[in-house]
Amino acid sequence: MAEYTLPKQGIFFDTKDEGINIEAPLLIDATLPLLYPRNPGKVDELAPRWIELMKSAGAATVKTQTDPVYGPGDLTGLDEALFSDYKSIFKGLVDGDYTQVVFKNDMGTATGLATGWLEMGGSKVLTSFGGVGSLPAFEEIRLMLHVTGAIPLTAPSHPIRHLKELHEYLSGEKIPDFKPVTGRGIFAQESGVHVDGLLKEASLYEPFPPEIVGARRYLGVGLHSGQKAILLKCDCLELPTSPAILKSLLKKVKEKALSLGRSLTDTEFEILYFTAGGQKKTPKSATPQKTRRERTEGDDVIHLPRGRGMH
Amino acid sequence: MPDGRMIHLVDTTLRDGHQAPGLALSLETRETVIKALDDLGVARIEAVSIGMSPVESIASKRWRGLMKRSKLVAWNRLKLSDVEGSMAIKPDVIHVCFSASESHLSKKLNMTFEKAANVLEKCLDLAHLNGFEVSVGLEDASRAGFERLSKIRSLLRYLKVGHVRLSDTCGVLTPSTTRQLVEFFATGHFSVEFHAHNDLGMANVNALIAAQSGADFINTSILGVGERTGNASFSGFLALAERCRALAVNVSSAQAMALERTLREFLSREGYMASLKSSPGSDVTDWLAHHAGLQRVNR
Repeated sequence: MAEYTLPKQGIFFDTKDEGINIEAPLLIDATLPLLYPRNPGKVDELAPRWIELMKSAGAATVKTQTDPVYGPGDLTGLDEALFSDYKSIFKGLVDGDYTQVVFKNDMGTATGLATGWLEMGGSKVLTSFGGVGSLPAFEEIRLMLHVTGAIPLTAPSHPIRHLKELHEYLSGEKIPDFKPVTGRGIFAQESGVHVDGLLKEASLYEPFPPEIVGARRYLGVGLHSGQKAILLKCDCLELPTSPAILKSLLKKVKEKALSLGRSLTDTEFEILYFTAGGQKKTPKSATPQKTRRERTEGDDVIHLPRGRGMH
Repeated sequence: MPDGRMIHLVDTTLRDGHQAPGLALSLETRETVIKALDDLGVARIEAVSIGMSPVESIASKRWRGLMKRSKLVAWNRLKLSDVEGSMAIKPDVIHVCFSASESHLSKKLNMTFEKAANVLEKCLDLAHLNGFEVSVGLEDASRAGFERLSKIRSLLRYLKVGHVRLSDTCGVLTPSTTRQLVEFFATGHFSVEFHAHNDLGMANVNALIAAQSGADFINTSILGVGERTGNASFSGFLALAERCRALAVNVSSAQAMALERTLREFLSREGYMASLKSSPGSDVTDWLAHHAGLQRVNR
C-alpha cells in the first residue's frame, strides 16, 4: 500500500500558541446501552465483539449494555454555548475540572461541539457509533483525531468498517450512503475536476485514505464527467478508446445524463460506447500492462495519466 | 429587524452541489432552483461552471435574466480560457479558483506559486477590464499552512482583490482552525466567504463559526448536497445562524426547509450507490491501487 503523502491535515496554525490543543482525549462509547432496548438478544450475543472492535478503534471506555448511558456527574445543556463565546465557557469548565460533559445532536452540532470541547482542553467525551441516541458520532470524532494528527488511525483490521456493519445489524438500520466517515458513497467521484485530481494524487480531494475506514472508491459517469473520467471508465471496463471515440462518447454521456436526469449505469455507458464507434471488448488480459496499454488502436491509443494515485 | 451583523448566503447547489455523483438536474429544474433562491433573497447563486455542454451554456445565458435580487456567480478554474467562456454568459461575478495548498498547485495544476500568481493576475485583469465583479477562491486553504496563506494574502492585496472565498476543500477544519483561518483574512480587510465540507460532520458548525469569526458570506447548498459528504446545508446553517444574536440573515430556516422539501425529490440520490456497487466497472479501488503500484515500480 502506498504511503500517505500529504502533510499534516487540518492544521492551519500551531494551535498550541493559544492554549488550544487536543492531546489524546478519552473517547467513551455508549452505543451498546443505547441499542440494547431495540434488540436485547443480538446485543447480548455480540457485545464482546463490539467491545473488542471499539477498543481496537481507539475507545478508552466502552459501556456495556447494562451500564447507564449517562453518569451522575454528567453535565448537559451546553449546546447553546455555540451561540455565544463557547471557548470561554468550555475553558472555564476545563479549568474548574468539569470533565463529564455531554453534547446532544438535536441541532446537528454534537460533533462540532465535542471537537470544540476537546480543543479547549476537555479530556473526555461521550460518543456513540453513528450518533445513535443523539450523541456525537464516535467515528467522526475518531477521524477528526486522525486528520488533526492527534491520534493517527492506522489499524489495518478496519475496525471502523466492522463496527459499521455490526451497528447496522444491531440497530436494524442502514447507514446513509453519504454519512460522514461511514457512508458507502463518500469516496465516489464523478466530476471531471475530481476524477482528474484522483488520478494525479488521490489525497487532493480526500480527507483521509478510504483504506483506513475500510471503504472503496467508486467512479460514476454522468453530466459532470470529463475526458479523464470517461477514459478511466473505459479502462476499467476494458473498452479500447481513441481520441475520436472519447470525444464523441463524452458528448453522448452528457446528453444522456441530462435526458435521464441522473448518472449512467455501466450498461448504459457501454451502449453509448458502441454507438460512439467503439469496438467490442478485448479479452480480459492476464497482466495489468496489457489492459492498460496494448489496445488495438495503434498510434491512436490514448493513455491515462499515471499520477501518484494513492495517498 | 435583527441587529446582528448581516450574513449573506452564497448558494452552490448548482455548482459544487450539482457535481455530487449521481445528480443531473434538468435545465427546467435548475431554473426553478434559481427563481426560488432569488425569491428568497439569497445574495449570490453559483450556477455557472466549467465543463457545461453547449445546451447548458446556451440555457445559462437566460439565468441572469431570471434573477431580480441575487447575483449570478460563474466558477472558473485558474485558466484564462475559462474566464473568457464565463464572460460570454454575462454573470454578475467571475469567481476564479486559486489552488492554495502546495499539493494542489504542484500535483493538480503542475504550477509554481509564481506561475499561478501570474495566471491569476491575467484572469482578474480580463474580468475587471470587461466590467465584471470578481472573487477569488482559495481551494484547499485549510491544508495550505500559515506561510503559504501569508504569501497568498499579500498577493491578493497586491492584486487589489476585495472578496476571497476560503474553501475547506476536504472538510478537515475544526471549530478552532476555522476561526483562525477566517480571522486571518477577515482582519486583512478582505470580504471573506467560507465554503465548508462535511467530511467530519462539522460543516454547519464550521460555517457558523466562520460567520461568527468575521466571514460575511457563507456557502450553502440545498439539503447540503455536494461532493463526498456534501456542503453546509441551506436550512441547517440558517437554523444555527438565526439563533445567534450577533448575526443576522435575511432568509429564515423555515423558508429554507420549505424550499428543501419541494426540491428533495430532484436532489435525491437514493439507489445511486446500489447502482454503482452493482456495476463491476465502478469500483476503481483495486484499479487505482494496482496502477499506482505499477508506476512506483517504474520509477
